[in-house]
Parts: sequence; structure tokens; C-alpha cells
Amino acid sequence: MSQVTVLSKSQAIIRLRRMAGFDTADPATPAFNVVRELLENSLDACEDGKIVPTIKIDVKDLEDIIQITCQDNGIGMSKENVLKAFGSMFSSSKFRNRQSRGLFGIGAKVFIVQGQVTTDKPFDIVTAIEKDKVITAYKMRIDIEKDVAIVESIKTQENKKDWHGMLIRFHLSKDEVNFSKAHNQIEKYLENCYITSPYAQIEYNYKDKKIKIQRLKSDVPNPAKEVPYHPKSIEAYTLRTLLKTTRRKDILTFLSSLQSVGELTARDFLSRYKIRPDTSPKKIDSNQLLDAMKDYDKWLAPSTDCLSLIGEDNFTTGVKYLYNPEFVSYASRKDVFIGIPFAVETVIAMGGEIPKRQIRLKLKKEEFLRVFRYANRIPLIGEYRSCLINQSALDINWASYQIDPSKIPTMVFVHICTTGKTILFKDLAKGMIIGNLPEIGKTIKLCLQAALRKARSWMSKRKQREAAAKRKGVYELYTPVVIGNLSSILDLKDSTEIKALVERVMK
Amino acid sequence: MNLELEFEEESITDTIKEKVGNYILQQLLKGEAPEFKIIKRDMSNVSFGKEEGYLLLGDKTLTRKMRSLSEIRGFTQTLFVANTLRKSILDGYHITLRDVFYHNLFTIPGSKRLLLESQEESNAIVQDLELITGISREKLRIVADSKGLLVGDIQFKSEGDILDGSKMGSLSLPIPSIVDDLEFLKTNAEFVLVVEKGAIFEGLSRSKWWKKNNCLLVTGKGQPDRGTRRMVNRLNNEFDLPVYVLVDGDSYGFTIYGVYKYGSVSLAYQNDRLTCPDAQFLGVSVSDIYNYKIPKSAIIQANKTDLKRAEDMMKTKWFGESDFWKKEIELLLKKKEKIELEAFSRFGFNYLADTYIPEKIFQCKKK
Repeated sequence: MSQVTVLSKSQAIIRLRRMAGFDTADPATPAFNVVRELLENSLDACEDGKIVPTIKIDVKDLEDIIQITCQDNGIGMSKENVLKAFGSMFSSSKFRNRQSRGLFGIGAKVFIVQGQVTTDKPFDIVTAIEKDKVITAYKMRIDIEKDVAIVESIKTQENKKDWHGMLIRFHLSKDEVNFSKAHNQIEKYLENCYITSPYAQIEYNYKDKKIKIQRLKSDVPNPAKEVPYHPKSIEAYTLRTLLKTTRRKDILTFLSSLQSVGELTARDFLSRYKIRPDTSPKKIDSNQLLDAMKDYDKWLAPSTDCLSLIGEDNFTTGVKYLYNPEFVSYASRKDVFIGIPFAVETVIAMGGEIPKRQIRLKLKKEEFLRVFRYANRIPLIGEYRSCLINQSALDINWASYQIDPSKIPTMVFVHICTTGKTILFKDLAKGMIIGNLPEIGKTIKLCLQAALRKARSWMSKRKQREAAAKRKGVYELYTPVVIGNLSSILDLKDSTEIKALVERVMK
Repeated sequence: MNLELEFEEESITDTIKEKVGNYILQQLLKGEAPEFKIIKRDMSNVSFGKEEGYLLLGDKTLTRKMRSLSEIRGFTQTLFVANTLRKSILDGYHITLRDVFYHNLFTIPGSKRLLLESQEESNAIVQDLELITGISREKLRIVADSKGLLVGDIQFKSEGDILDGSKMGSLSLPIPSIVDDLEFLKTNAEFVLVVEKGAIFEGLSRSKWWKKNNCLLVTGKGQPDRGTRRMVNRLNNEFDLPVYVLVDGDSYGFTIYGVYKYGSVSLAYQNDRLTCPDAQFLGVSVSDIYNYKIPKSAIIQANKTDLKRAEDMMKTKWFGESDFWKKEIELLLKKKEKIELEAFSRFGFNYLADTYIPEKIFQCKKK
């Protein structure tokens, strides 16, 4: 077992390096990715404690290397957790059954390790958890071979201002990353935080290029709850680990500890698959159990309580701040897909200051739509055409909602959140929602249609208003000509009377 | 509808005031959004008067409302043109149809749009006003471009001068737009030959064909204007002269013959003054193409427009219910061939004048 892990580790590091954007011809990609990973971790760390996030990322050109510092006011880490989290490449606080931005919590570490290899410099962690008396500063390295932390020094200072949070500082080789080239992409990404987390204040500095994301509101949503695994969606590796490490003495109580499983269901399941209820979990063949669990059809649906939506207020605040549309409409919908709960929420924004799309080629009506995609609060970038969210939005007959995106600029924002992160992304680059999940696509469509129904009633009122305004305009244009000529035919020198008569009937 | 001709100037302006100004005012006083009711001038409101022998206008009307997004423009145009026409009559001017348009070149205040954007738009409004007021364009003193010509032994009086159609040298008399102003004095001619084409007329006129055959020659140069049609109508009515019409052997030519004889749809309200139900068709008929053995090289393939027009003719009562025209049009649709009058020059330059026309007139007289 351990041998297999070591082998897969070195292979995994190579793969992770590639996914992080190194080894590609474009040094802008890893620069963008490192900012994204650091920011996502910091946001998660703040939201976990329901803390209003203040995050600062500084990128500095030193002589031949680049220094990256990310500081947040999140929940911080205890000494034990620092050594665990930064000692091993593959340890993560995110191997848990809950919704979070990061997939596995190892994205940022890939950069730290890469920096350590190419610059031969240790990295710094400065952190304090809530009510810590001291702030602790670690200078560390990761022993990649042994996968353990090497702490070079630990310093403490008095925590006078009751600070909590974390500062990470590490270095990257100038040959491998280019922050100037990545700047536009970084800026676009950070602007998206207005939509996904309008309660965050974010600063990014690189030379004279500074980006500041203002805090639009100060209430942070409730953190996503951690929930037990559901028997239908648990993965083989997780089940094996749980069976080995559980403190439950028998399989009956073990099963009852899973999500949505009561004693009655557990007993029915065990008798159907002929497993003795008092069998020790450690003696169960995990593969056979997994097959039985997938086969059994009476599990109750998993709870969707563990999902953390952006919420109507937050979601629309950001959209309104960035685009100042004439109309926004919000809808959300929760569902379960193969035992994995997920939620979709959408904002449709129309008119106002939304810029009109430039027509370059002959576009279809729907191609005037601008679809913005988010998954677990992360904006999705690239692979637009094959993305499930985009496909679902284009699948809708917009005309039946009286909306013609070529006439009224229309933006669609869709956020999907789920605990089942692996169903969301094709890879660590987090580019898209994988396309062949018709059940999720259907839920996205239903959610969009709910928002569109509100949009339709607004549209039809708007059209009525427009028609009335047009009528008024046309009438106002011709009425004086009518009054003048009618008065003249009737040989009236004064048209006051005719004017009054005409205006009375034209009201 | 019979248009009253004996309007005095004062009564004309009073009629406009009454039928346009006061008509609208009464609606306003009742608190109604005003509208004009205008008799429809299209195929749906035209019937063939068997007794009269020409097209009659029905009484279907269309409204032009002020309180309608699509109609307020037409409503305003009608009022505007009525007012400017009335003013010009009060000032004693004769104006042309072109003047009506230019006189009314008026940009709507607050927009860049002209109230009347084309001559067609303005002409249509003038026709509407003829129907609203019951006064003909001629009496409204609107002069149109005229293109008709006349030659032959006839004398007119116009504003005190005597005009003689037989003393024009190599020229011909232009037919004025307002024929009603002419006083018809006398003629020695025995019939009227109406020729579709200006060029054929010119040839016959120069060779003094009218003198040899003791007739009057008239042309409207294609689709005849109101003046030419009124002239033929008066020659037929006042001198009791038979009228023969000579047109190209195609459906366009036949339609022109129809206009002289039965009148046109858009001017159906004027047909009592503009048509000549006694007019006889001289040629060229479709069967003449084959009876006269016109050489193949002079025959032209009928195009889609010709065939469509022929089919439309079949649908009308005035052509479709005549045995002669049914046969002719069926032959045209079958053979898909047509000829122009000039085709007869294949048999010699004088063939048309000396052989074809006299032969056809002889046949007509036999009937």
C-alpha cells in the first residue's frame, strides 16, 4: 500500500505541475493559477469562520526570482495543522465531504514545492488562530522524498491585536511565471469576486499594477456544513479508509453513521445482502460492500442542507455593482444526482448599462447571450462551447420568454455548487463543467426557466411601456401639424380652441 | 359616383372646408378621436357595371384615424394637402400634381421626416381628396403632366383661341391635362383611331393617314393619362364617333385597350368621365399572329409577367366573361407568344397602314 502511494506520488507531482500550468509554453498560465489558488484558499479560510474576508496578494520582482505573499484574516492554523498541511504534499483539509472552492487543497502547495525546487528557498507561514496569545512564524521546507515538513525556524510574537489569519510567502523562478502577461486574466478573475463573494475585500499588487476589489456588503453566508458520506455516492477509496479507521464496533452502527441511513434501512440492507449486523467493519470486504450499496435502491435521498449558495442578495449585489442592469431576476434549485446533492442558482440581468455586443460575424440570436459560469463559487474560464452550463442556456427558447438578446443586452450568471467536486470539473484547471450530465443540465434549465418567467413578465411590461412611449412620441410629432392645418381650413386665426379639442381626444 | 363639374371657385373652397375641416371638427366636438372615411380604391371594391359597360367603384370604405400609430401620418397628410390645395385655389393658382408634391415638401417639426416623401404618396392623397370632397382633380385645378397627342380634322376653342387639329403641319396637338376646359367646335372625321404607341402614331400622322381615311388619330403613349382618356370619352360622346383601339399583340396591350374601354381600378370613381364603353378592339389579337402568318423571327416569347397579367385578365369579369377574350387569352397562355405592332413591317413598310388597319376596321364594321 505505502509503496503504491510513493510511486503514485512522484507521478502525481508531475501531473500536478502540468495542471498548474507549468511545462506549457505560456508563463502567464501558472502566474494566473497561483493567484487563483491562493485566493480561493484564503476565501475558504475566511468563510469557514464566517469572517468578512480581507485578502492581500503581493507579487514582487526580486533580482532573479519572484516573491509571492498572500495574507488573509481567515481562521488560521494551529501548529499541529501547519505541520500536517505543509508537511505533506497530499494532506488536505479538503478531503472531506463538504462544498469548498478548492478541489483537494493541494493546488497552492504545488506552487510552493515548485518554488522550493527552482529557487532553493524555504517558504514562510505566519499564522494565528482565534484567541491565540501569540502569532507564530514558520520557516519551512517540504521534504519531497519523505513527504514530511522540515521546519527551519519557529518564531513567535505577542498577538496584541487579537489577529487571526494566515500569511504565506514563497518564491518562484522568473523563468517560469510571467505576471505582466497574466494581468488581464487576473483582473477579470478578481472582478468576479464581486459576484461570488461581494463581502470580500481583495487587494492585488504587482509593481505598479494594482487591483482592488471593494467590499460591497458585510454579511458572510453560513459556511457549508460537513456532512457524513451518503452510501450511494461514497467512493471506493473513502469507504475503505472509513472501514479501517472507524471506531464503530459493528457494521450496523457503521452504516447508521452514514448520511440519511437509519437503523431500519441499515437492517433491511444487511439482510438483503446477507451480512450479519454484528460483523466488525474491519472484517468487511469494502469492494463487496460498495457494490451492494450501489445496488440497493431504498436509500433515502441525501440532504442538500450542506450546500452553500451565494444567495439572491449576494449574487444580485455583485451583478448590479458591475453592470448596473435595468433588471435582474434570481432563481435557485436543489437536486440530487447519483447520491450527490447539488444546487443551481442563476441571475439573469438585462438592459441598463450592460454593453451591447459588438456584431462581428453573423451571430445567432442566442449567441448574443453572455453566459457567466461559476462552480463552487469559482468562475469558470475557457472551454465555453462545450460547457454544460452554456449548452443548457442556449438550449432554452428565449423567444418564448419574449427576450431577444440581440435587441436587449442579456447576461446570464449560473452557479452550481455541490459536495461532489469530482463531478464538476474536468481537471484541476477548473475550466468547465463536464458536458455529459443530462440530469444536471435539466436542473440548470429548470432553474433558468424559473428566473426567465420573472424576466418575461418584466419584459412584457417594458414592451408596453415602450409602445406607449412610442405612441406618445408619434402623436406628439403629428398633432401640431393637424392643429395648424385644421385651424387654417376652418379659417380660424387662433388655433387655441382646436388645440384644446384635439388634445382632449388624443390623451 | 358622379363628380359634380359645375363647381364655382367659391363653392369648391367651401366644399373643402365643409367636407374636410368641418367634418373633422364635428367629430372633435363630440369628443371623438377624428378619422376620415375614404372609399377604397382597389380591386376589392370594384365591380363591372354590365349596363354602364365600365368599372364601377363600390361603397367599401377605409378609415384613416388620427389616433392610430399607423394611420396618423396619412390622416395628417390628408388634412395638410386639403389645406394647401384650398389656399392655392383661394389665391387663384393652377397647380400641377408635381406642385402639390413640392408645395407640400414639409419636414415634420421635431423630426427629419418629410410629411410627403414621394410623388406617389402625394398623388394618392389627391385621389383621396377627390373622393372625400366629390370634386375632381381637374376642378381642384390640379394639372398633371400630359403626354397624349391628337391629330385630324377637328376644331377646339380654348380661352378664346381656335385650335385646328388638321393644320398642325408635321406636328400634332398635345392633349391637355384638363380636357374639360376645351370647347369642342366641329369635326368632319368619321371615326377615332387610338394607337397605343407614340412611334406608330407618329408614322401614321406624318403620312397623313388621318386625311386619307378621314379620321382622328389619338395616342396616349402607353398607359394613357386622364387627359387622353377624357379626350377619347368626349370625342365618342359629343361627336358620336366610333372608336377603334390599336395595341401591341400582348397582355400589356390588351390591358391598355381595357383602360380606354372599361376604365382603371384606381380611378374607378371617374370612369363615367374617362371611359369609352363603345370602343372596339382593332388588334393585334393573338389569333392575328397566326392568321396573318407572322414570320417566326418577328414573334417574341411571352415572359412570366405577360403570362401573369393574362391570367389576371381571365379573372376579371370584363375580360373573363367575353367569349372573344377567353379564346384569345387561352391561346396566349397555350402558345406563350406575342408580337409588337412593328412586326407587320416584315410584309412591307406600309402593310400596317394600308392593309392591316383597313382590313380590321372593315371587319369591325361588319359586326
